[in-house]
Amino acid sequence: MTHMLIDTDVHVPIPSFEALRPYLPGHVTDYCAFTGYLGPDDAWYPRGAASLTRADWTDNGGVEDLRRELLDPFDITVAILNCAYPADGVMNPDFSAAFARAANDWLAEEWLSRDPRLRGSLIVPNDVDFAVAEIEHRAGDERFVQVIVPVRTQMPIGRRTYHPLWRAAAEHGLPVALCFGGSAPGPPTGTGFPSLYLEEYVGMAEVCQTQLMSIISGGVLDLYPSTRIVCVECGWAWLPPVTWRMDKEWKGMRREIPWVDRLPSDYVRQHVRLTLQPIDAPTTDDFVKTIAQMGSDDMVLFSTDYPHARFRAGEPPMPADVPEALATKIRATNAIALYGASRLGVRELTATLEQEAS
Amino acid sequence: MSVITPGREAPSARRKEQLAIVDCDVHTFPPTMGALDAYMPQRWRGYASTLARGYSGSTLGKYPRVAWIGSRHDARPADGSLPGSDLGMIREQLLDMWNIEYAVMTPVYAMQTNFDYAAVVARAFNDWQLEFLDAEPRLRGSITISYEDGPAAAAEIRRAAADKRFVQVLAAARTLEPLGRRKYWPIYEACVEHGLPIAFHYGGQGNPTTGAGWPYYYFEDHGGMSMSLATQATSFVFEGVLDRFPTLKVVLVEGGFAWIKPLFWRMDKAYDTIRGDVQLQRKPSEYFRDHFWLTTQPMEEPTNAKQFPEIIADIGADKLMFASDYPHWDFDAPDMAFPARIDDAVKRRIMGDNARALYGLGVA
Repeated sequence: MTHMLIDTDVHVPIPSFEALRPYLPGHVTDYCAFTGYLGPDDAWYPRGAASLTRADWTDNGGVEDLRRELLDPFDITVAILNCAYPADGVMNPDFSAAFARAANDWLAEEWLSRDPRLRGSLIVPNDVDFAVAEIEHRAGDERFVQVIVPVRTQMPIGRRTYHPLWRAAAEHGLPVALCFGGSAPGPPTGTGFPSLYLEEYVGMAEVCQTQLMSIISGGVLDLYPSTRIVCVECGWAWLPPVTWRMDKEWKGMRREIPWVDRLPSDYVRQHVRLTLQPIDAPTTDDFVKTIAQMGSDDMVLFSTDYPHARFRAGEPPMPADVPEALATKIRATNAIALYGASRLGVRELTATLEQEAS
Repeated sequence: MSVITPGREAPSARRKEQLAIVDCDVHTFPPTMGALDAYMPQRWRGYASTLARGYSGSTLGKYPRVAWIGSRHDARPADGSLPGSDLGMIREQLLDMWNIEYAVMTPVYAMQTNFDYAAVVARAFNDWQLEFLDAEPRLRGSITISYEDGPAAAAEIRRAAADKRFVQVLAAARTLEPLGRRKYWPIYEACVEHGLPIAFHYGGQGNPTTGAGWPYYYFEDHGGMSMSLATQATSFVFEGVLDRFPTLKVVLVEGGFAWIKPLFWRMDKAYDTIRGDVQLQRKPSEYFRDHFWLTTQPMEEPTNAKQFPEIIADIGADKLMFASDYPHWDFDAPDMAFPARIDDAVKRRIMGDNARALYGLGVA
């Protein structure tokens, strides 16, 4: 059988302000030099926390490291690069836009141009008008396969404020990835600021759930029916309970949101996808049971979450005993259905696979 | 003012063969908020309708609540007093109709900006509950506290706990800070001292209700309660409350329950990955077994109802306690709430045995 493995969550951190400087406009770098400003510094993955990065992987590497540590040994066909650069954390909207654009230029130049297996996620600034402008600016570059928004936005992302962003993404056929993190200045939980990173980390799953509620009740999927959402690195074991909760609320509350004209779980199965790692389910039985509770095996997309320590050296990125039909969908089929074989550059491989399957 | 009449001699059960039920979430309330004034010192009377502020305004004013102020239409007393304030209706629509052996009152109090006033209101709620407790032996009370003010809350727990009909301490789920933070620890110390579980119930005030700001709709506000309770459970575990108070018992009320299993999976995985933040005595899921209980309402309804028994089995049949949420719009009727048939022994535990054991109620 032809091998295909699509890694939908690979991180390539911008190593420093200096790396970005060549891509920033002169008036920005001048002002940064004058003020000693080094760009947004919110660390969704606290620097120096050794446990977050796998000991045998490079946190701040380049294409060579990525090839050696991930692409080659795991035989990855395509890898989608999610650069968790906190451009949303710059409050000045012009600067936020400048940093987002520079980060995308950096990603295209330093990564996408250097290995044909790489695809990118399009970083957008916190201001919605500028975010739309960035999508328009970059839409011609097919190597960018989705828009990426940190899940902790300043306001719930289904709000009308964000509708132009959803529209632009839908018009250009780009899924919107809600990725772990976000530099919104409010508390990262609905009950205030926690003491520990661990709480913030675990709580990102709750933020992701409330965002799905906002997207559905806010009518995003009714207004822009081609919208696709990818929950990146927020886990997925929580999905069944939140869809049941939404279904039940909808039955009682549809008068409040009449444009939501079918069960929220239907919208979720049609529009929402989630990346594999971190796998919270402790056993393969729990893994498989959770997928059964989702009611769809189209939803989980293979990811390693490189270079984060989600599985240990020598272990497979997905448990080896996941049933083969499900594993095949997770490894590639689901991602191809979402992003399209041509955008991922796997048309021939996909055709071969389909032939083999039939 | 509604009339409180003594309990009936023989409850007229709706069905012949019915379990004796413990209902762990019944919203009794004074006929009006102003009625609490009678239980307050002169200085604070009338304050609720004049200068009192909430942290983020009234939540009733933010979202229309589906049904009349969030209640069943038939639970609205004819004289215009608040739903849940008429003991006659409570008997007729809940206690007698469903063969309720015990009903735990949960008068949630959440507008707590002024600590002096909050302490007075909390105390008034407790003194007012005594009248219901005296009038109806099937009721049990929850000690209402000014939870944002740890020492004052602890003092009220110590005062009210003398009456053993109070079976738990009650706070809201949405607090100003995550409940594991140390400002709240005096509350837990007092709970442990008196062997009282601490219950966190739907509601609260202060922060935007999500980690990404204020939502638009009641759909999100109401549906998001599970997520608020999840962040609180996370805080309890990681901030070391349960290491410091190893006998503390926590009840999560009115947020459903299916989410708790994946939450503790996630905590275990995170704790295994992210080292150096905190050193706990046990792995997170081990605290769940000994410290957490959840009430069932709003009952989980999986898309495929056949998965319902496995959800209960995964959590543990001894961790769930039935709740109706009377008189609210999303009331769970004991004979209708379960979306699938479950084992009789499991059902008996959920409908009463677990609550009897946790709260030390007489065995039926």
